[in-house]
Amino acid sequence: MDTNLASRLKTLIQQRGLTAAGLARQAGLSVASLSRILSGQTNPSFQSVSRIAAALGVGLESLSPAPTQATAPLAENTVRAVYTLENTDHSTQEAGQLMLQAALGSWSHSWMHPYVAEGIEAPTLASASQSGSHRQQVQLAFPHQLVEGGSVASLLSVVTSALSGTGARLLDVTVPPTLIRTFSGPAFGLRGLRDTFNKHGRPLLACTIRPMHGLSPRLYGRAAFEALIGGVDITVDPALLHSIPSNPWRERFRFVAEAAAAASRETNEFKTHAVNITAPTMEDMLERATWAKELELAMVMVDTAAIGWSAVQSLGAFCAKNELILCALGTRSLNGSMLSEQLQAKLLRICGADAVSTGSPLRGNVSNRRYVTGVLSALRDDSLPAQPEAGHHLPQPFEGLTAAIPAVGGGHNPWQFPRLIDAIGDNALIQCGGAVMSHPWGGQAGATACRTAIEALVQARGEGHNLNVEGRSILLKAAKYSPDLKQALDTFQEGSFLFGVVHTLSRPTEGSILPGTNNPSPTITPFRRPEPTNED
Amino acid sequence: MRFETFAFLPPLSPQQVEAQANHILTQGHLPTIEFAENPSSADFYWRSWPIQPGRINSLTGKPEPLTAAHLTNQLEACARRHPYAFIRLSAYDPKTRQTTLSFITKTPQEGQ
Repeated sequence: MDTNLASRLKTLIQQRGLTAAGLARQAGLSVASLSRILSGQTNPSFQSVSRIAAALGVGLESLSPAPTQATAPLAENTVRAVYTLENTDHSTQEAGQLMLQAALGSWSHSWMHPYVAEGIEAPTLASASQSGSHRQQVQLAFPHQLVEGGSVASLLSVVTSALSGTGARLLDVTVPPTLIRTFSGPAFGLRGLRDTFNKHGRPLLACTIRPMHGLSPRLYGRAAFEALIGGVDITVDPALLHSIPSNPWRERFRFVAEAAAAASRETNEFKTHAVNITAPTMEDMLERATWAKELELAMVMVDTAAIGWSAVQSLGAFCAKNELILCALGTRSLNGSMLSEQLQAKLLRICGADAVSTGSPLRGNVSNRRYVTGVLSALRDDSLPAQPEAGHHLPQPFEGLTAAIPAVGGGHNPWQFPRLIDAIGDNALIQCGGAVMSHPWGGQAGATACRTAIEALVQARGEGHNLNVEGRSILLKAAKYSPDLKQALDTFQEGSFLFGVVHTLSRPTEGSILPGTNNPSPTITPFRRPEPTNED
Repeated sequence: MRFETFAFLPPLSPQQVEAQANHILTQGHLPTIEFAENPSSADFYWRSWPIQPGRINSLTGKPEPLTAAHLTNQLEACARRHPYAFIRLSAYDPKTRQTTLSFITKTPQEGQ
């Protein structure tokens, strides 16, 4: 099989006896842009590729590259790690030796060496290769005995030992079956969350509450309530809202718990709110989680990048014991530390996070979509093949570890749902706080619009419609019976992403007077740079 | 009262229900018909309506595979027997151990 989109397309065109111009006409593309794709000069947008796939009558899978095997077969029971050395002048061999010596630094020879028991193995160099100009990729193998069972901290500590002094970056880690069986993974996970909340056959809808600062806890709870009765399944605290004097955590939890309970009674559906329990100490976080549990909230969320891996594991264990669903939601969850998103997603699943935020597969071009798909598969799949273009440099068997549910965020509005649902499938949570909270008729109408759009699309897909191609007409048909959706489609623009805020004031320029505000002092004009003085 | 999936759409017509039933069967998922007279969101388990096997094939002696038309007939039969019940059609995928679809096909028919 060819790995290249262009050559794959060429084969398909030949097989069907088409011409490039004919295919371009059928797919609604210009001949020039198709020929650019065929000659490999461009990274086509996801929409063009899906049009071509629809015109050829094949699924998108047949245009995406087949999984490639890793260079070396995965030896049983070794932890494999792939590093990249960028901007390096080292040859491949030198790079391999550099990384190996860094990993072996703690194995330096000592006078006690002769007394060391037999059978203790040191890290070895598995492979090294050039991955670009001035870029080397090195793979090391660590015996699994070096890693403490059930400890992500130990795992990361061992594999990052090779980073000291080398300036390399860790790309991917394979946790061998012996080690992965020592982690319990999410307590609920994808299937558990669906069964617990009785939500089947469609992506779940989540909404982050805005504005996050300046509301009293009671009004904040009201915002959650409106979204929930409108059809949102889960409302979520913003990742940056921890506890502030105007919205202290204890009171906020009480009001959102009341909002979720009231919305459940009102709609006869399961509703819940994920409260942000990120706090300075582990004890504080456990106290907040306990309070959430006492209020009968089903979910807690943390900023996993900020609190650290061991804290995530502690919370995972606590949540499993206390029947809480642990969420790693918020835009920062996979962007916070120096690890790749795919690797963090894998580690979060291992740590026991039930829901994990990911980026949007719709943004950017085809390679970005593959990148996000790599994150989704790290959260959901039973085993990962090595697929460098999706961010998986090494294969990873999960050995039956429970799947986590990806929460796909990124400022979507109902116009994007057809392509989004087609890309992520049903087993995901669509986070679209922006489209819900900024609907001109309020949060309830916004929620109804999003929920109606999702259900109309799922129904049409069941009837055999292609969401990528017919999404627009399906939405417009649904807008005929749902005024909320009609208004949302009129308000939000097709193809625009919004991050929670639509109606922003234009940014004041220097010297402009803001309406409705008094100048703090007659001598100071707001938004004006101080006059240069002679001292400067 | 909202019952999860498809609750925000107008009531499904018999043709639309049949299309979904067809989708379930072509995916190879196992259909279930359930009914409850006064359900709440806390009720996970509704009474199940046994789906009669298809016609026996005289050559093989085995029941023919389910069809969408057969499923809608079974839904009709359930609705006739329990006119005041909510009836839902669910699909289960044994491979992923997930319920892949679950939606209300009939709401209580007042005055019948």
